[in-house]
Amino acid sequence: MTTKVQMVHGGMTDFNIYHGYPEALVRGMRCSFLSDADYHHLTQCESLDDIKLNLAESDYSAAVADSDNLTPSGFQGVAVQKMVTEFTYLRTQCVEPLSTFLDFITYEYMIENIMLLLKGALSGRNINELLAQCHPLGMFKASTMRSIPTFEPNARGFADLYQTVLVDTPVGPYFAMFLQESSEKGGGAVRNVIEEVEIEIIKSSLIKYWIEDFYQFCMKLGGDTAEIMGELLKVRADTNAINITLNSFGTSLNEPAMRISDRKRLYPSVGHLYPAGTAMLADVSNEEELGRVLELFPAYSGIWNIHSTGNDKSIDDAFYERDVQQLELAFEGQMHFGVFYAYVKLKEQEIRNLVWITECVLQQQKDEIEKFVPVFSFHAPWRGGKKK
Amino acid sequence: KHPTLEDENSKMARWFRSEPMEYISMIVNEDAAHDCLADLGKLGVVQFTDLNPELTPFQRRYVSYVKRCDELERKLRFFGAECEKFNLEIDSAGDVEGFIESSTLSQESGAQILETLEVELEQYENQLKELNNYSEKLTIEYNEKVELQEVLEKARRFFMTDAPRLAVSQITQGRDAKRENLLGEVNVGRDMDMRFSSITGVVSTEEKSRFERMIFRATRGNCFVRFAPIKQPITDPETGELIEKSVFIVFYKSVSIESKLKKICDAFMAHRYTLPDMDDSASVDKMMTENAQELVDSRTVLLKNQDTRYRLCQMLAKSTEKWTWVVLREKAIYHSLNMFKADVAGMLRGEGWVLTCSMGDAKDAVNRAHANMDLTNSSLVESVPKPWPLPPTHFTTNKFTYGYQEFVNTYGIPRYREANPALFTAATFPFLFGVMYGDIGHGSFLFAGGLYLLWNEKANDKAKLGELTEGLHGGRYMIAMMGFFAIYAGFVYNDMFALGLNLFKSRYYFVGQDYNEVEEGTIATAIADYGDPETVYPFGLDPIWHVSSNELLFFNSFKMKLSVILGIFQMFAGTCLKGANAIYFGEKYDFFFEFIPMVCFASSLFVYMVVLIIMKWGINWNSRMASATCFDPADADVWGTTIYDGEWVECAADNDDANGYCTPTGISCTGYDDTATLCPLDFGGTGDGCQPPNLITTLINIALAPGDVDEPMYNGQAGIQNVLLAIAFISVPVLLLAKPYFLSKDMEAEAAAHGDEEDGEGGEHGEGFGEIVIHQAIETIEFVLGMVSNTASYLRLWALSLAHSQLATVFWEKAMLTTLNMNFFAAFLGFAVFAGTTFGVLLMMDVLECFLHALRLHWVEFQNKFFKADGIRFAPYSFKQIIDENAAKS
Repeated sequence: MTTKVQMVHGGMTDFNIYHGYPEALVRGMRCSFLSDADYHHLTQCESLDDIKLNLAESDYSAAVADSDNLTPSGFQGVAVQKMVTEFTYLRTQCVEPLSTFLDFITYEYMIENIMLLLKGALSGRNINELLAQCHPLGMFKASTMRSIPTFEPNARGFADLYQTVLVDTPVGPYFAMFLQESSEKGGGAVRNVIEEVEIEIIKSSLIKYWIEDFYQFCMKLGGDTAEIMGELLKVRADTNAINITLNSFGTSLNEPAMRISDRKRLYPSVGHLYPAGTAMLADVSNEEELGRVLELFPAYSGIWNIHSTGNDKSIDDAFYERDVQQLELAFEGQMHFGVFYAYVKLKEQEIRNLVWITECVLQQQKDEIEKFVPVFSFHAPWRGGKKK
Repeated sequence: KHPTLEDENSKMARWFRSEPMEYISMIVNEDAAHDCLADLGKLGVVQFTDLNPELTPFQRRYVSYVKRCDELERKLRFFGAECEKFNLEIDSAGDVEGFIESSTLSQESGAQILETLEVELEQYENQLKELNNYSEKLTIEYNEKVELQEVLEKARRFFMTDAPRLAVSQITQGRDAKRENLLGEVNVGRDMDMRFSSITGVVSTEEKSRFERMIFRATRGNCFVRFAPIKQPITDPETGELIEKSVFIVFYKSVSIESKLKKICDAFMAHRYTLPDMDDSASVDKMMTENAQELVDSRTVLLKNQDTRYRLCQMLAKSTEKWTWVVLREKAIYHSLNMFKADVAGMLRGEGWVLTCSMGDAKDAVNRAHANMDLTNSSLVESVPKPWPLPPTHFTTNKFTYGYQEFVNTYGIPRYREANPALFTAATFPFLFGVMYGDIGHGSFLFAGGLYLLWNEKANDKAKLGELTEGLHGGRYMIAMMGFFAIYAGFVYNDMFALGLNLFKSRYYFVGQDYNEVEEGTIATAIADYGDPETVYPFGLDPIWHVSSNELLFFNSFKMKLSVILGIFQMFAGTCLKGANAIYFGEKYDFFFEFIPMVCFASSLFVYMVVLIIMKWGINWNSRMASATCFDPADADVWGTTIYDGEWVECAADNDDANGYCTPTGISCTGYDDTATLCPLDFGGTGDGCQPPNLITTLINIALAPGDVDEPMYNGQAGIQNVLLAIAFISVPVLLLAKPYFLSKDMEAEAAAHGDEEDGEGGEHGEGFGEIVIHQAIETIEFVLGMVSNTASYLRLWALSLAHSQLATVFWEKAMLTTLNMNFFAAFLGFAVFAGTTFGVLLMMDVLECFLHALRLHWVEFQNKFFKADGIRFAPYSFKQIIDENAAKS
């Protein structure tokens, strides 16, 4: 990923000349977020039919008008499709380096799609079914997508996969780095990777490379973009590191030998936790120790406390809430690219909320329905408001 | 029946103030509600208020009906999309009004209408979907046959011609130890019979190179691929799009490669076809003929299916629009019913605004609907007791007034019943445009354009227009009027493509002009004496000005003054409208402490300026100046002529210094007297009334040097100006302070009346008062400064008119005149340049520019004098509007 950038992109001097229009577009799309009233109405719904009717009053009206698939995944499908349409429109309106920046956002989805396909192949699921589940932002050409699950899930197969298919894709370099690293490590590569855990490890590595690459790219852009995106990506990297550690408990990754050799490799080399924090994380073997390490980082001790004490909220929710706060802040700023990233991520959160609400409505779990993180809500804790 | 003058007047009055509104409540029987609303929607005079704002859409009473309508709409959109696939236009269902009128003839109730439509559409949808599924299946089958045929043909050709040749060439190369690819590597010339496995199939041409690359990578080059394009594009069964495809054949050796290749084929969604033994040409031929036969059969079936679908769509295209209208109508009815409240069982109560003049119609509609269902006396339509919420603004417009009303609405909807600027705009807008654009030639083009639009009015009304043409169509009357006034102003300026028209013969002549021998610097002479009607050019300006050297000086002076006069007239009219509003709404503070001081201020300085301008035009300065000039009584050439229009009096040489010269009024001259002593008028100052004043200096000195008029025009000018200045000065503090003072007194009185119970309200009162003062200060500053700057702003009338005529002059002189003097070809080119620039710059850009400036003069300079523009637009519940909007959307 080498993009020559002479100017500081994210400065006030020339930002609007190059990126004013896409920025204006994305600001206009702020209105498309569901409002507090919309959420309130949605949570009152009794059936998915009602949800459709309510969405017809929001910016999703055109999207849901012709859909007759009244399931949570159906709603998710149209919502994602709408987001992708908007994103693609933005993408077509922008010039370098913003276009590369937007492409970077999609790489994450590409990695997720590849992993989804590989995992699906392991469990022997139908390719069409898998393709329908893939995130449209991370789509390659149909033929590429279809060839991914055809490779053997072992080291050789992955090498083949890279050489035949992924080398053409933008995320190919990450895959190459992963292969390179596993071959250097020697022993690990020979082992058959048929467990799903192994797929998760690959995914974590790829995401790690992606975060690092994206971070470097943003730093190169400089200006406000570097500042704001740097912060967002650092937090993202930390979140990943914590989640990897947390999820490794009880798996082979937590074995003392593996902690350093495998788990530590998965921690991104950016973020507030890097390097001191990640070094400590590498040694933890259970939740208690993890909690002690995070105690040292005020930003994460709060989130950890939510996880360790309250059983009302999961750590994911805590992370989401913190993300939404930061992304909203990034969205409010001007003259930087973070707003595009924030837009995609906030939309993603909104879609998550929508799925949550529809699921709750479907399963008649009325008391659980309020557990979502609304976007641009006046009741958000950081706006001083309280949930009704 | 002919409209009487009174009717016309009342029409005008109806446009001046918005339609009166009545806030009504209507109680209808639930059973008749649908029919009531159907009738009211036809009238389109009621705007319902949502009585259940706290309810979400799905909690409302008629939500299930709305949902059913949505579902029907979805089906209709599906039909539309299907018809589009066959390039079938959706037939127009005729006139919207006709549809709305006819709709109540059916005796079906609301639920029945929906039900019948649902059944009908459901049936068609299923039919269409079934046919589509079937068609998909048939297409797949057919494609397979076509592809197989192609594969067989291509493969046979390949095996018969290419393969042997390739093999041989590879062999020779192979001998040279170049062992790169499969054929060469394995053959090495000794085993011609070595057989390779092959896979044949069809892949989309777009993917061809990626497919090839993927195969190469997967097999590490250990295969041989050949492609042959299929000429006929193949229909994609799902989307119906045509896709270019290619036949491929891959030779390979090992089994492991085969499985890889198969996977790649699957990934690229390439259809694989197994070939018979290609050496057995008889079996190949047989297979081909068999397949060809099947191909023909499946083609027939496919065509038949297509034909059935086409006929179904044709039928659907005929009725889709009508169905859409019915669904839109039903949906609108239920949407409106959702705003009703069910207070009493079986009854629904709705509230809303209705045009006062249509109140009777609305009542009749409701009663009729109830009577039809034998539910007489169960409905109630009555006015809600006041206070009402803020009424919406509605104007009944016609084709002509519509454009101007929109023009004003774009700025802001007039407040309910306030003076509507559109009424005045309709006259002044095209006129001010004309003042700026004034040119007979260019104006005629614009007028012709406007007439063309009017000529096509009927056709354009019906046709679906683009955004630009739609706008032009909406402003057709405006354009025609603008053209007309541009021609009018052109006649006044006597400008046609920047040339003067000598229509009535110029009233001046140059010596020698009949022989084309006018010398540079010659002065034009009037054909008759001053004051003779002969010297007056009958209409507009004398064309002689266009050839005189002081042309620009004269035109500028004339146009500048004209702009100021027009501007002050318009602004004064705006101020008067403020007074009219104050009277209408009974706001006496506004009238006495805003309108009156404003008028005083405006008249004492600005109207006075207009008076001075006109007065200066009206005075015979030649005569006045002559009256203070010394003449020799003996010189009969001058003495007693008409340069002085009074009685010539010879002076008595009673003075020692007298040099024998006399002024026409009989004052003897000494040779060194100034105008003031010679002038018989004695108005004061150095000019004393006999010297034409510099108006700018005079006006500036009103304020800068009060009481000192250097060059007066009438007796007592200084005194009058001082009085005017004093009025202007007094009116400013009155404007600033009087209204807040009286308002605060009122508030105090009110507070005293309410007495002791609310002591804590003092703070709020202070705040309110501060706000009033600030508001009034802004109003005052805006008006006082605005009068000055807005008057200057009206100079754009002159500036644009000057720019227009100068541009036209430049184009004429540079492009036309210079080339006319060269030769035929140059003139030919010159005319092209002239016509092009005239069209592009003057007929396009300048029209827009003048339009925008006229627009600005109305929005800013005129409307800020009185226009509040904070009204709410009346949005009646009307089928016509809903259907029209839907048509505009799609």
